[in-house]
Amino acid sequence: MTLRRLEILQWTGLLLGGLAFAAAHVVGYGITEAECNSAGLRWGISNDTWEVIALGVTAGLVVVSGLAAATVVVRTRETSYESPPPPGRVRFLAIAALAANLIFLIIIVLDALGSIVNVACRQG
Amino acid sequence: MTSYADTRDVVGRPAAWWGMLILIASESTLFGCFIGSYYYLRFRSATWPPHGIPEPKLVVPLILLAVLLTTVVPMRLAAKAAATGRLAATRLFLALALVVQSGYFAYEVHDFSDQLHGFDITRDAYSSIYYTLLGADHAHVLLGVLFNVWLLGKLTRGFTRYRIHATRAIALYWYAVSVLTIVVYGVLLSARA
Repeated sequence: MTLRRLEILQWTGLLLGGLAFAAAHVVGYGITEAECNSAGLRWGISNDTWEVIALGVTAGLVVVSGLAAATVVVRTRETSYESPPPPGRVRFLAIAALAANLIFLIIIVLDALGSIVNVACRQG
Repeated sequence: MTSYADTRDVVGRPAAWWGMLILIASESTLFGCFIGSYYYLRFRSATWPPHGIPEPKLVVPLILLAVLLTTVVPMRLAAKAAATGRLAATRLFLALALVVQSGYFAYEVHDFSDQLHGFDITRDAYSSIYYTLLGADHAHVLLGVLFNVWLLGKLTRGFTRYRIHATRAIALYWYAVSVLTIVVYGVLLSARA
């Protein structure tokens, strides 16, 4: 695999998971606001259904992101993360992406479960 | 000039720089949440700050902010000196920045404590988010001060490639803290609007 392709995979692994979580979090917040305010009461929005869909899509993206990072780590196993860039940087960020994607996966699951288990529309 | 100080043949920035950028990104997210909370609470309050709490001071915080921003210059000069292998200049600029940063932090601790006597952190939502946001910013300044102390300690034993990269990474951290402090002060002073 060329260095260019490894770089693309590395950046995908580093950024995709975080961006997916950010989008899902904002969308989830918007769904709750829409469901719980006066105009949204007539729209028949189901917070739980939307949260399950968001969880599935986002978790899938995070898994893809993690696999991209894992691929880079495996393909750069002959290189040290302390080596000069670009190979060293590629490996370094891929290792960071592995850890980050695991954390994002946990955050996404907790975020969705919290929203589903909790009662959406009530006084705070 | 030692060989490890010459990074001109290397393509791209060192891993330490990228690692620091990731730290800055994650901390920015934290502050984004704080600032979002601040305005969420503000837009649900008829009076902000609530009655009985004074508006944030304007002059002293802006002067202190200007003092902190001046340290960007010696940090930048330290990073450039490190990249070209000038150890004495790197130490000098770092020490100069550290003195100013420490003075800034010491005054801010005093001011923070003084404000707590005026209105307590548990008083209401405004005081809670005010002290959380301001305290988090000061904590990041303290972390930067500790970075500088550590780096100066390491540089007493001379340069290595690791220490040169660390100088660049810590300078990046201070650029970010300076921008962060501008944003935080802007948010807190917006209560005067």
